[in-house]
Amino acid sequence: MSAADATGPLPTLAEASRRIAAGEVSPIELTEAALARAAALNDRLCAFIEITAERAREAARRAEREIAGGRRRGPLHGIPYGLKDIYDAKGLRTTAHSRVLIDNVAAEDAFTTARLEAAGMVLIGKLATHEFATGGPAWDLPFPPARNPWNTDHFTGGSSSGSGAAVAAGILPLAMGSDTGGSIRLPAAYCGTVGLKPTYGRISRRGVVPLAYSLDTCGPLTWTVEDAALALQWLAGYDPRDPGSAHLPVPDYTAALRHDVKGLRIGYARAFNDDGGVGTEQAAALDAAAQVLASLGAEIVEVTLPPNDHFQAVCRAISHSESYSIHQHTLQTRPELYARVTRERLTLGGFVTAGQYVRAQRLRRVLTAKVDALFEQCDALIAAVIPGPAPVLEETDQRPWREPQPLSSVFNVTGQPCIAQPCGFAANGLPLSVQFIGRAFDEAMVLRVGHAYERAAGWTAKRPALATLQ
Amino acid sequence: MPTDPDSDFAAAVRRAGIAIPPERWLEMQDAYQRFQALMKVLDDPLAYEDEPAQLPRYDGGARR
Repeated sequence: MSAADATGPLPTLAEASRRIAAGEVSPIELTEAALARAAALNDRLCAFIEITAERAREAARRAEREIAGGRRRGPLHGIPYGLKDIYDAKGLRTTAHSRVLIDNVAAEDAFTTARLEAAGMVLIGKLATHEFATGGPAWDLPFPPARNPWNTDHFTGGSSSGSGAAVAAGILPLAMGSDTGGSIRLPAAYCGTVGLKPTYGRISRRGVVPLAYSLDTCGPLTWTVEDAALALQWLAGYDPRDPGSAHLPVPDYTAALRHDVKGLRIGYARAFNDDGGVGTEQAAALDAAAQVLASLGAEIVEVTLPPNDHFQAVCRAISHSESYSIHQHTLQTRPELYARVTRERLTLGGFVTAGQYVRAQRLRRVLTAKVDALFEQCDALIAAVIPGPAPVLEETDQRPWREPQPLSSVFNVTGQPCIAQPCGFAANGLPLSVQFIGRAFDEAMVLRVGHAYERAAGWTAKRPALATLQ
Repeated sequence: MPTDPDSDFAAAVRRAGIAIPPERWLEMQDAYQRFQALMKVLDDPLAYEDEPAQLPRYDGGARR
């Protein structure tokens, strides 16, 4: 990248990596470009709650020295990234966008942060989230809510709101998010980026502020599926200090991208569109996505998911109970520290009975077996992740009981990996999204299908107008 | 267990040990009732052998 094109979005991970290897761009140039874009756009987007400029410049100088000295660590070396502000980075605050943790300085890196730092990446800053990765956009917090780069009057989705905004605006090629009921995929969908929720257990959660222990997953938001594969390659792996970490081999995810989808059987959960209240534009975009895959040689078969209200009941009972167990003491002793919407939604967990929680975990096992059974006849699934384009930010539901419930939580209940990615635009210019789902621990298949679709559909060519600086 | 909605909600609030400001009481009661309505599907009978889920799933899900 030269100074002449510094007004454009940062290159993708893959492109930045190639250009660093070729000596066409340096880590310092990339870092300065990311910092300049963050400074220019953050007043409008509120994506960052802290920009770590000096730390970034020091990391970029180190990367530049190492690469120039022939010690390139790998494909991510010298490339900027950001962390949702629930990820620990040693010496920086992890606030979870909350007064509760406003002075919480991390003593060590999260597992994922340590992996990205070991890869030689350059941390640009900490990103906005919904408070404690729950609640919703709120104006009674220490930091404002992030705004959608496609139209700043609109919602980013959440809870990884700053991550979606920063990637869509081309400030960062990679931002970490977390997904308990859809919090990677919803901002990816509303902001028109790629969001990968890996299988529960695939990426360590150590050093990430928890929301609901048996549902939380960590994952990347990127501009392309190839970038999601590159990031996952570094992030996946067993961590003995995370009790939910799976001790399974990590395959070569980028190799999976070299395979096409010809001959794959892909199940389309079309009936879920009606069950989930999906709008006309979004439903048509999903139909078109299925047709694109068919044109590439995949066999599309219709499949039926269990009723949406079963997933919603299970997810709500479990997520509210587990988050309440984390926040109960503070809710009872210092409730004023939370935003009103967070406090009220967390409070609902106090009303779940022990019987409801255990029955939810039992039904979860039944639902998981039913979704697993679909993979006896299919290699991957297509399903809706959002009902339509992003709503107006000020019109998002601020009530303690959120309607409608997110469609994304289906696969948090069952744990399979899924990727949300653009599949078109609504009449108002905002992105629409599709998610592809795979067998547990078969992220390679999800990435393969997503990559094939992305290349054929071509939606990544269009960036928000705001991404080009004047 | 109280049978009228107001007493039922008041009992749930006491059991949770949470203070709800008076001006937010009706909104929270409405949320509680919507939540409990959704929870009704959990009352459908399950077989004895349907034990709680265990995660992570080291079997990798369905076999190819």
